[in-house]
Amino acid sequence: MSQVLRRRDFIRLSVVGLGVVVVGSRAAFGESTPTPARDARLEITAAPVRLIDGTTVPMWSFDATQPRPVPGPVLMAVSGERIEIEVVNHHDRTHAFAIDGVVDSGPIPPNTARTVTFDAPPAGTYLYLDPLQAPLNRLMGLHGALIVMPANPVTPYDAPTPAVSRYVADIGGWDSTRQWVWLFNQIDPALCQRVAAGATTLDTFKPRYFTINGASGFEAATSPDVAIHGHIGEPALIRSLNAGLAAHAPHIHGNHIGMLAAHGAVCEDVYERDTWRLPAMARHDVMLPFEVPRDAHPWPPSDDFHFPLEYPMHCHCEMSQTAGGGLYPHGAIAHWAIEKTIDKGLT
Amino acid sequence: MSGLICDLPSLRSRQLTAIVDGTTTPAWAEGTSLHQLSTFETFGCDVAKASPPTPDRVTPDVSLVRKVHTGARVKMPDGVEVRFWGFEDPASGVSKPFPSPLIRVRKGQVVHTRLEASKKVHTIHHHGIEPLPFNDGVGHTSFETSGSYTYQWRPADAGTYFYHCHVNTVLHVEMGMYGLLIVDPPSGPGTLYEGGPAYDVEAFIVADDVDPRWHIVGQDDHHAGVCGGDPELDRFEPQYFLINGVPNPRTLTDPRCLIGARPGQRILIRLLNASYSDVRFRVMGLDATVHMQDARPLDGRYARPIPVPAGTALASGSAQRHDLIVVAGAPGTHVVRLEFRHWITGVVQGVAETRIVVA
Repeated sequence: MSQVLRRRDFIRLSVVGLGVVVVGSRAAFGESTPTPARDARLEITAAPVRLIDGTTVPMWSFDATQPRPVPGPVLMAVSGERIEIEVVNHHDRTHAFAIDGVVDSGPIPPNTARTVTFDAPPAGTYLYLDPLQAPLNRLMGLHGALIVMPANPVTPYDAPTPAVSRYVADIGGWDSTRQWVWLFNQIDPALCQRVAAGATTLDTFKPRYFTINGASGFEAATSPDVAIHGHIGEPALIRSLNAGLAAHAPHIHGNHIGMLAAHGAVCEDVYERDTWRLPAMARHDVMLPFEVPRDAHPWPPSDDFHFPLEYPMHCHCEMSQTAGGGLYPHGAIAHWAIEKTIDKGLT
Repeated sequence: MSGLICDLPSLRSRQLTAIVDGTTTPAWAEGTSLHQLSTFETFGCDVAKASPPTPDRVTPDVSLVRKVHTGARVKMPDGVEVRFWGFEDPASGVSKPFPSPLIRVRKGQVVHTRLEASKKVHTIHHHGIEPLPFNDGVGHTSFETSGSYTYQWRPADAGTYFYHCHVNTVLHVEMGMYGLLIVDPPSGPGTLYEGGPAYDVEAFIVADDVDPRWHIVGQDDHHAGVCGGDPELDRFEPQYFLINGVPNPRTLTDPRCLIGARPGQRILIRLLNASYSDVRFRVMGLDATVHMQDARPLDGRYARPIPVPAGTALASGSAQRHDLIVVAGAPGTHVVRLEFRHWITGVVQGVAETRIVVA
């Protein structure tokens, strides 16, 4: 595979190189241009969050101006670059901003602000969060994803292992604009009510709603920041994270994924799986190869009716497929789709 | 709930709109409920229901029938009888089996799995098999089978899979609507995959956990919760822990669970986590090696085989498969232990144990 950046990559890196880029969490990376921001600004507020069945729960947000207040916006940087994030606390409690092993703002009292300055860690996927009253402030919605890109994105990493390089080469290389965040979370409305009313301990956690990027069920499957699409031969990187407390087991239909990084470390062995474990606080990068569904027969199908080929990804701890105790499958589910194409071989 | 409908049209909406417009309606879709647009309702409560002919149908190498039943009963150690559902193979002569009978085919064969859904809608999803969506058994990306449907697929990879109903999956899988699915290499049983390790003895370890409350919910309402109400399907409190459909501790003596081998033989264990727990698997006193995961070989191209030394835990998430080779040592007995950890608390809720008997 060529090490030379394609023009599209170059343009994108020029933009990214300006500094931390804040990408609205509704924006798909696949086709939209990320919004560059020299310095990111996160504003902590209380925010009502509407769930798939119309229930509204009190939560806390890093940016309540987003269509979905939780999670926080996707932050993006290039490894090694200097990052300055201003965190403004408009809320009536003390909060903080931290990335495990990277940076910690320390307490930010109500109605004050703090700028955290740090060098972007090695390329990969990170979870930023409010570490206070752990895990309560995180469960109340104060979490989000930080993506760090390598300077030369042939793979998603600064120093890929031989197995990662080989896997990415074998699937035809990776277009670095094709990446999605799937940030899983679980919401216990009763806990949110208790904490909003002043509780400071986690007595019980009985989640009743299960979200990906803040959406669930039909809304998740049809949201452009969750749903993945492309043609055969256009792999998509999925940065899967779990900000909650439950262990998820994401199962993807249509293609096996290759796991490239687990718990933030680039994998020495790339496991091809249709179901991967995503425990609490895990951050695993998996590559969806967008290969021909291997067991489809005959291929290609005779009738255009079949396109796009639409497949679900859902957690196989199936309790997560519910909302408010039922409403299957309006829980932690996403969709991906293979578009029909005329300029790429279908065989 | 129409106010909740997302204003962003899904990919499927476009597809089905084309059918409604009459631009691409295949003849076999006419007169079925496949004309419905994808909305909040048709995603869950009101999924398309149909019994269409199989598109692009070809002559199969293997034809299987799986007929839905709802009448299996398993007596638990405390005397409680729990009702299970499943798929019956009319050719087997076995009535109301739990778990459902093994599907075993070879790589490259064209397979027809004919589902006979009985009175209620069901589907078959061949988990890990990757056919067209129309043959994938997911209601909201295709249809739920109201009468019968023949799923057409052709496995490209040897390995361990399973199949299960994908209607109100949270409930129907717990009700027992699953079975193991094995794809052998073209040479047949005895080798895990082409060029992969050979084995002398083959054993299945299918882990399941049972919350009896859910089985009452399912018996009352096959569609519980799908269109509203609160059957509390987010609260799973398993009381019984099973291997191959046998509740612990009968697993220690039941021939459906026990693994017998002679000294020096290579035992293949096909491990499936069909439970809703995060399972830890251990073989006491014998080393094991994982050679496949989710029907993909650990052959050194992208990943090496994984050693699992005697007594150490292998983590298996819900619906994962691991294929392990264990070499039987001197005559003796070795416990195979499954721990079922709660998906939120991580607390061990129960165990199921069986034995490898080397003699």
